[in-house]
Amino acid sequence: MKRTFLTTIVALLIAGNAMAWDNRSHSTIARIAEKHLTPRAKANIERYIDGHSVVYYASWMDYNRTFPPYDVTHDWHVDYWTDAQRTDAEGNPLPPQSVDNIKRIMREMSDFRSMPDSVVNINIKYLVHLVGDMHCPVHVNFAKYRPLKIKWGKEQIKYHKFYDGYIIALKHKNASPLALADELDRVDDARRAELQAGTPDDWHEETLRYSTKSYELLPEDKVITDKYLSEVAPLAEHLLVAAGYRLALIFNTIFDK
Amino acid sequence: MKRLLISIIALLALSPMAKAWNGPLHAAVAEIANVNLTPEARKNIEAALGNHGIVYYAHWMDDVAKTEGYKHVSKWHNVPLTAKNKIIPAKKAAKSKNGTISKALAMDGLARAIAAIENRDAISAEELKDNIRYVIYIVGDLHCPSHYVFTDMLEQRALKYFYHKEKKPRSFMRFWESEAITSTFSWRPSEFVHQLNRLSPEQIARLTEGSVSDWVKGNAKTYRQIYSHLTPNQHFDKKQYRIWLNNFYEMATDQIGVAGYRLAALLNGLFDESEPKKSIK
Repeated sequence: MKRTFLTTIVALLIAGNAMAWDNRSHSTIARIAEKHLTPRAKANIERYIDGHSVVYYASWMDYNRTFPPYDVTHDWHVDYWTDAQRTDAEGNPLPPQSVDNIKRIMREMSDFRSMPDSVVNINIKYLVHLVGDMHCPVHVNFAKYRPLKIKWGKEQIKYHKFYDGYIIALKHKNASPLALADELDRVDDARRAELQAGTPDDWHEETLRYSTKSYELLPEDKVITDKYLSEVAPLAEHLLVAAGYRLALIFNTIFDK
Repeated sequence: MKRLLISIIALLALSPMAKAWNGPLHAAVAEIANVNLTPEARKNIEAALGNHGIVYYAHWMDDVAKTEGYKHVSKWHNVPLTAKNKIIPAKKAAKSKNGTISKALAMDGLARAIAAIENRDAISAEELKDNIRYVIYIVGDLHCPSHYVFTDMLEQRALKYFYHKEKKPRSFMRFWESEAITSTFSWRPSEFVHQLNRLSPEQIARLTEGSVSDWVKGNAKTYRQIYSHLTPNQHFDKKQYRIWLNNFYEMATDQIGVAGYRLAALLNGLFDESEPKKSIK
């Protein structure tokens, strides 16, 4: 009974936001990043996005990914779409889409002042979302997890959907993105620097490890238990925080000049 | 089981998806107004509200709508306008045989509330409190597109659409009260403040200049256009719905900020003598 009730609540809370981290999680990541932007980086970024906060555009890519002209970005949200090539003609591995695009945008944006405003604008929207997505455990190993279903109460739902929206929504039912960002952003400078160390490739590897761990924690019968939730929620929370700090680092590197 | 059912119904009623403009979105308008009140206005208003802030009463007018003594407020949500976006005076609107028009007396309710506050020495403390609460709510409604009754487009108010596999159509008017915003942003009032309370003093001055009627006429030009985006009983799959939604959500969300700034301007003029007064006409 309790489970049915909670399922109903969570379904209501996340309705309409089933793709990728939901808007609350993406907004939380963006807000954590925003809190750690340098004043100059923040001012430069906001100049290109009409005075909005980066949080405003946290899910923009999700809302525009399925139709022209942004349908080209459809596969960028994950490592490899289900039918994507993973090797080139010579058999060399192709990089994951999300990470590859983040690295490309970072390179191109290193000289952002020479770029048209509209391109800087769109690249900010891409980065704020893709850095979040590359830290989502069901967006790596995407092809494996996409068809997987789990049972939550009486409901059978996609593992992807459950991870993206339910875990954080269940753990933090009443927290708004601002409140959740404040709640999660509590490490000292040294730990934050530790989390920001490395490259997007390293961060991708870390997400893969968390993804595997989350999957291994799943009960064999794929019925979600409170025990599973209590074990997996800290993993999801860690990834939100890490994504926020790393997004801040990327933005500060590009825009604090 | 019964308790569970009641809880679910209550949650539906409270959720942003179900009653947004009435709940969190009205609170968001009041939050933005609250941070834009002058200290003097806030002090005077909170004294009149019994040491509560304006956010506390953001949707009070809905809460009392069915209470004896307050049933008149059911007519204070909508504004009737001509084909040329002229506001139809309350006396004329009230005589209309069309119930949608005759019950669209929000401007009259607001004018009465403002007049009562301006002459507050002549009313009781409780009446003053009620009239402030009317203002807080009505200014919010004046920035919701579905609260504009365009008398040349009355049939459009019945527009419905079908979402995904749902068999029951959804109301386009209800869409504007919630989904136009909440389908995109999972925000609480604090996020609305964080995202929308960003205008410079010059921008705020431009946004709040003129009378309340000027604001309504300006809004009407924009709000009239929403009907061009829907055909009767249009069906949307999830992708089509998202594309359609992208036409509206920024404009709809912006209205929360606009309403907040204007509510603050109106209340500042009423409760801070150093601030310019806003008139209805």
